[in-house]
Amino acid sequence: MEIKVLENILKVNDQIALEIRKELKKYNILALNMIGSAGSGKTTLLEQTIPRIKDKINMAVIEGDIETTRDAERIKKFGVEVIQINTKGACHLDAHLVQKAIKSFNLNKIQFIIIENVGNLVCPASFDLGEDFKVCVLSIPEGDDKPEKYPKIFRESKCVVLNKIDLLSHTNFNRENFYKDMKHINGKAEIFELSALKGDGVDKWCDWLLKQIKIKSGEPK
Amino acid sequence: MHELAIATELFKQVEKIIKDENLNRVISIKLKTGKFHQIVPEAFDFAMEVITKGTKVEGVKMIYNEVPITIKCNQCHIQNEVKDFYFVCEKCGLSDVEIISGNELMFESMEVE
Repeated sequence: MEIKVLENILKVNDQIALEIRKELKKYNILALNMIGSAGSGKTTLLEQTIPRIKDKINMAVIEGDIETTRDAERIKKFGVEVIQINTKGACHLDAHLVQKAIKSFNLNKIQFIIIENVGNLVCPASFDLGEDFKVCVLSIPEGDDKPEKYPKIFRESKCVVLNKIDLLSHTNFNRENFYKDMKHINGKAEIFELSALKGDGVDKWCDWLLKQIKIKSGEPK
Repeated sequence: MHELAIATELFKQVEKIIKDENLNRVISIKLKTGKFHQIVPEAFDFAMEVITKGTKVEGVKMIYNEVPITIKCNQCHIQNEVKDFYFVCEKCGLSDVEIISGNELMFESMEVE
């Protein structure tokens, strides 16, 4: 006997993501889903970003990792609200885990949530977390071939951060190839070259972020 | 490797149907997978084999129907199929395009006893 199902495989996740999106819309909170390989510098980028913007807007951070609270401890030092999610083996955050974290925030008091996903360019790309947009962090030592190898995440990101730009001359990363590939995979993506460790280029990225937060907070509720 | 994550979500839906419909066994499952998701059938088969061990779904035959990626240009409004992840309008060469198919992850049907 054949049973017709005709359902999205990720329907449970996507329904919760929709609920998150609606909830955040009520408060005009901008949520960003930050995705990148392990070691691409996502947490270091947050360490540079938070002190630059936290006096201008109220923000909260959700840290996703398989194990440990190390990243949350790094963020806590800046005095912003942070929740660590441990996925206990899962290679990505899902909407259910994020919804639980968001429920613990006082949404009346924040305008911006950064969700740092588990380090991985593949699985996180499939799971909608109810964010406004995805940001993909790629670091120079990973190589210029990554957009072609992982097109889904590079296509779906509104913005790509090219981190560790200070290492460019020490690697065989070909900037021209990177831009050429990005042009056909996602020609509309904003691209920021920066060094999260040294701080170069971070101001420009923060200005762009603040602009996005302002746009969201000005939208009709 | 995302096949395991997606297969896990699929299995949750299958288990619910087995329980609701009081089924004995699942023989095959038909999926429609958009090319954008880059599902590798062999990897998905393997994930299903691991997840379904000792359940009513063990030994299930997976049937994949891959959907090509199609885009529509917001400027010239023409549609073209995307090859090698070139999300560019073939007429005007611009990137102002929307994906109109190829992003599906659809659980179509299953053959059961």
